[in-house]
Amino acid sequence: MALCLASWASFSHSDPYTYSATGNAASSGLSWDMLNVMPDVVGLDVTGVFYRYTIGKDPAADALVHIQNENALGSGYIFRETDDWSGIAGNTITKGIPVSNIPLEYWGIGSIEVEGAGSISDASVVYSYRIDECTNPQSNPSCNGYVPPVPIVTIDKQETYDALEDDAYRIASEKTDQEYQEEETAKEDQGDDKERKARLERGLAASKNALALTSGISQDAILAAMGYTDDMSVYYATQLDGGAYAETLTLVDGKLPENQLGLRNGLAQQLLHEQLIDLQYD
Amino acid sequence: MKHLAVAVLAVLPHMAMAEGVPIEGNVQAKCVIRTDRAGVYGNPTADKLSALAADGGVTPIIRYDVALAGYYLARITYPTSFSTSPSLTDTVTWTGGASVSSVSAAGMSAYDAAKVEYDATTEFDLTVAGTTWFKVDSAAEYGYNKAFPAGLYRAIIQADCIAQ
Amino acid sequence: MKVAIAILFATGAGAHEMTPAYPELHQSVVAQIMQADLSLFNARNDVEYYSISVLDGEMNPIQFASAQRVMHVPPGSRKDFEIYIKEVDVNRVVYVCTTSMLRAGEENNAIVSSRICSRLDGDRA
Repeated sequence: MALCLASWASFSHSDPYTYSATGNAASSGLSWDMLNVMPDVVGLDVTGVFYRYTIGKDPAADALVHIQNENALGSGYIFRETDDWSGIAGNTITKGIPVSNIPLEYWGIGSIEVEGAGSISDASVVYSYRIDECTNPQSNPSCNGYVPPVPIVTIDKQETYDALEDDAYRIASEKTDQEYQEEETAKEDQGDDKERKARLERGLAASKNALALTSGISQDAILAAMGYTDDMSVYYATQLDGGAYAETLTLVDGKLPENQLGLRNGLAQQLLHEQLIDLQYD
Repeated sequence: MKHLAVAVLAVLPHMAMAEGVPIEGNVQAKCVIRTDRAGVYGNPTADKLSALAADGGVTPIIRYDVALAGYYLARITYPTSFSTSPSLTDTVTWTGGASVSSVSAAGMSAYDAAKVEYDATTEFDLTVAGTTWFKVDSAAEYGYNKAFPAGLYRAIIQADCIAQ
Repeated sequence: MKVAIAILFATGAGAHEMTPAYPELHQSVVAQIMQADLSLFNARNDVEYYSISVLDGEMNPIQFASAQRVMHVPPGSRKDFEIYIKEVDVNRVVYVCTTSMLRAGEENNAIVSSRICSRLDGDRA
């Protein structure tokens, strides 16, 4: 059970498409601009065309009715459906044509065109479409490539209180007469202190250099000791006890018997071999 | 070990083989009858019940879907009696008919010209595959200018799809 | 208008369907009795019962047997059923039909009773 659960792939993906349909594109006439029919969004594909109209005609007359959209990015038509009413009475037709998700930019001017004798009334053309919400990933948090927006933080200028600027502190920190006197005494002592520090520093420097000198000497001695090699000739002169490894497996009688179980196979191969040889000779 | 190796070698070719799984299906003759719109009788005059829109009624629409052309006949019979009504002491005169209301293929427009009518039945030969909507007119008149008694009136349209 | 067109590819709210159009008669488990297998799909919300009938070319009834003469098929469901006829009647049998049965007192003002007939006599006319 745990193995099944571990190997079960979770296909949790939501459909990024929104599906809808337009109103009647032919409500204002038998020709229409797709820009006025379709919503103004990116990532829109047309998925189907549904139409309905009534044609009035003489049953004996010929008539073809074309429901079509021009190819906005090329020549010809991106969609064209023809109803042949030739030789039959007019009627109302209702039809739906699925379209394989053609992007909106291909769809040019749409129209209902009558070729022959007939008149169209009560025309209705509806386009079904889908919108890919993830064309702009920022439109939906579930889209790939969605970057959560960083909130803009505004910091109001705060007035800060500096306690050191406070009058109370300034008054309290003013020097008194006693402090002035102590200051003068400290200055005199300071001169002696400076000389003493300088002498100390010189002395320490000397001792530090001395240590550095001596450590360098001892380090050299250590390196020399490490690099010292003894007489290596002993290694070159070492002899190994060798010899020969005699064969232990021997064939007692010097004969390799035939495999009794494979006699038939061996015989067949032998016969075949002999046949092949004989073929060379007439 | 040798047996295991042989077993693995025997299985490996089958594991590497990928078989396509076909999906099969076939289109068979099929007729589907749908009631797109149930009718309502209007009462334009005291002695008349009618499903025509001009008489205040609602014309029933029946939809026939056929998968293959030429396999079925559509037979529509308008009502010739009430299934539910108050007690009626006089005769009721029934009129009606069926005709093509809308089509999904232009060729179906020829059904009206080729239909056969007998008694209260209209028969259409469904020679084009697709969907055809038929409208059924129905009207009933009571006696001679006699008012229908008050009450609920119901009638039934029979829609048949007969394999040829 | 848009709604009427949009339902072209949608499942109809009230549909009656029976397949196959040409069922084959085959020997049943009982000697001298032939059997045909059919399937009925009920998409009518207003009908739940269908009657089975077997008819000749003149639409006259022919004796037959079935598990149920009147089937209960809930809306939106499919039911497979068999009909059995005597071998001597095979040459007379033409149609097997299912007819929607409307409950008395529950019909609308003018309702449609649907009947679909399949043909048992082999090749198409």
